[in-house]
Amino acid sequence: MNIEDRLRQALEREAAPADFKRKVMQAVPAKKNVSLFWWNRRLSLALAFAVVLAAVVPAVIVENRHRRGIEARDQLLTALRVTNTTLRHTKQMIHRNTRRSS
Amino acid sequence: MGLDFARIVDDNQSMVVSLAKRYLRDPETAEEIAQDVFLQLYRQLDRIETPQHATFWLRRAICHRAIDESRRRKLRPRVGLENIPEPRAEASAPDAMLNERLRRLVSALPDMPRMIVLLRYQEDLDPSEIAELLEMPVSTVKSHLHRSLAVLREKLGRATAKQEACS
Repeated sequence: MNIEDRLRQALEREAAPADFKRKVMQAVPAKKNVSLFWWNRRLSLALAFAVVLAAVVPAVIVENRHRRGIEARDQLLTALRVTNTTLRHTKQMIHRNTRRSS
Repeated sequence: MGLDFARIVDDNQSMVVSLAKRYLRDPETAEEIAQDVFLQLYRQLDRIETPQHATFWLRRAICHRAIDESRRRKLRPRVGLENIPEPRAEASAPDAMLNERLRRLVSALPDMPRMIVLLRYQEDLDPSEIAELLEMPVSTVKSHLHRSLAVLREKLGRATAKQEACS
């Protein structure tokens, strides 16, 4: 038998220890728990984020509506002032014309 | 993807453990690393497509882990091929004894030639497959194999002659 065949024979795979598979399979659930922990943690973070969003978004919407209301009121006041000024001018013109004709 | 992890462990444990033990020559560390490699595979199981892919992945992982571990722990000082110890001549030399001598000689090879010899004769890989797995040129693998075989042949021949002289 040549050296290569001898080596193949001598280096045949040896059986793993009897409890090897058991040890590996026992370690797997531990890893799963770690993974579950991280998922729980992610879920908690997501919930916390959702709660913060639920509190902040309505406040922002209300604030936005309030700001738009104030803007509309300001525009209305400006329009009324313009109308008031126009009416005053018209009234003065009518008054002047009436004096001249009498 | 429906790969059965328990089945993968069954099919590959002897390959992974044998490679680790024979390379590291420290059964406890070898077993620890072998377990770790299986757990590493478990974490990436969704990326593994077939049982053959799992075997390929495990073989590559255990080789690199064992090489890293050996470097990290510096389990043994570097030994030149010429300096590997000769096996003791035994009174009787049945096949089992010869195999044991050969295993001892292989375990005394320096790191890289030892891994290459294990992959070639334990795992029956071609030099090109070994080169791909260990990320080195095929010519380097062939040269390591050639030199290792020459040294093993010489040391084994010398030990056998010694034993014949004794008997």
